[in-house]
Amino acid sequence: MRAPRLLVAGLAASSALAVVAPARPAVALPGPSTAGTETSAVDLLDRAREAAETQPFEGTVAVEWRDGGQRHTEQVSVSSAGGVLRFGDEVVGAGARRMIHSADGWLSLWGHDVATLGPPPTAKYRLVVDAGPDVAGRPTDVVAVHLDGTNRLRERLYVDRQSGLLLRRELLDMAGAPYRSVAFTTLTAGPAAPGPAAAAPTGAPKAAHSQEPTPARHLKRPYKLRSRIGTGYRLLGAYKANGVVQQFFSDGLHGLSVFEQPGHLAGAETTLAGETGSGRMVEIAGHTMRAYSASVGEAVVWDGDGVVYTAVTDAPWSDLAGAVRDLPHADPPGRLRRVAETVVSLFRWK
Amino acid sequence: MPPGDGGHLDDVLSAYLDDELAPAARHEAEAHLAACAACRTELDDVAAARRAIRVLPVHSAPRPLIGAGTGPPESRAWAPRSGPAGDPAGRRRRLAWAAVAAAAAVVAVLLPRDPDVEPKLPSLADSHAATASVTGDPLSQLAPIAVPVRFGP
Repeated sequence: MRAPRLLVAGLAASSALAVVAPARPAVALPGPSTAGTETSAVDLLDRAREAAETQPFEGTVAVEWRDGGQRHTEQVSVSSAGGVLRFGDEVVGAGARRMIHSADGWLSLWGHDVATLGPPPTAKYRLVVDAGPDVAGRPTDVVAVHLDGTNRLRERLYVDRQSGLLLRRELLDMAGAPYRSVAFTTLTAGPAAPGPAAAAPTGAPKAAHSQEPTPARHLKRPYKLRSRIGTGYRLLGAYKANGVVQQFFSDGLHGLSVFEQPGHLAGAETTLAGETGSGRMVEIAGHTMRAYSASVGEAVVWDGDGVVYTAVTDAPWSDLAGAVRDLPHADPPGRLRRVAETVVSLFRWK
Repeated sequence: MPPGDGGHLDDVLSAYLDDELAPAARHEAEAHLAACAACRTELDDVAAARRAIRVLPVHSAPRPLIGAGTGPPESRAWAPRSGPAGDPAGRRRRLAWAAVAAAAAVVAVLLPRDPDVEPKLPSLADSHAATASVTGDPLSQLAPIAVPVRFGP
């Protein structure tokens, strides 16, 4: 997804300036005076991404989401030091490496960069920058995200004017109310932030296990590579791990993964940390399938043509439904198939 | 053979139809039939009744639920015979069913069956977030997987 970015050297320089500047920094971060242009919005988001990986900070993040009519809130401590991003004792990001803590130690989820450039967010969205409210006691610029050609506000991103960090990101429902958000509630950044020595464990942990997928440039049947899907989602890569194929798409702001496994859907394992969920039945393109909501986003599971599909996205539900429409679904079996299945069923024990 | 007591052939008709009369008695019966309309009518009725009986289907007696093959010989005398010496149509039906069953068994073995799959949603959601955090904003993508993933409702 990375559109042409600012040079890391330039970012380092601006970070250094931010450290030196006592109050409002004289860095290249756009303030309200430059607000309103899409270029500045894209720059803000690019810098926020880089700042999360390069700036030292420490704070607490609140993760909120809804499933059905229920609202959930969880607090996570987050810190960045020496290029290592930590979320509590559970998740670590270092460079392109992503690790999660499991019962058997650290599990490596990802270990390489994504080479393909995604579409710029302005291909699908209209971005408007304006002065935002304080978040975690810090002044922000807010990027309002509209679907291009519409006036409906879908999302807001609040960027710290001092550190350039993304302080709050919220998806909005039809009424304009946030239904999923990630937001700092406390933050110490810059010179007051603890250095690497203060961070409890320094450096990235060693992974005890790995489920890093490997790139799959060519897929054989029953898999099929799709260059585009849904509304404005472009393929950034296809990967394989443990018999599961993942095709990852981006629209410039959000990611959408389609996981494919050969077979017939028998159910979905949703249990984690003692919590279970049976999902809800939804109808997409005339087919009934099971949908789930979680802190990471939305998911839907179905099968068709001998493949079990699981689509996951951090985007709004409507984007997921649009992508699912472009994928195969189970059609009613033909007469020959029904006869064969009936005969076969007579010889099955259950 | 003299006519019956009433001057008609009566029971002689049955013997006549069965060709059981001696030649002399047969000639006498034919002479009477030529002269007696009542006996000719009676002969036609008897002959028609016999034809009707012959075209009726022959039904096997039902197999006894108990005692068949184990009871005394007289209790088994009316049980239908099975096996090669049984009813040919029934044998063909049994063979046909056996063939269908065998074919179905072959189909059951050869028909490709998709394996049952249970997608591990929490793990797939983690993989998605990890990928998205490399291409997108790492803070907002990784923080949600640091909390217990709860799929609902």
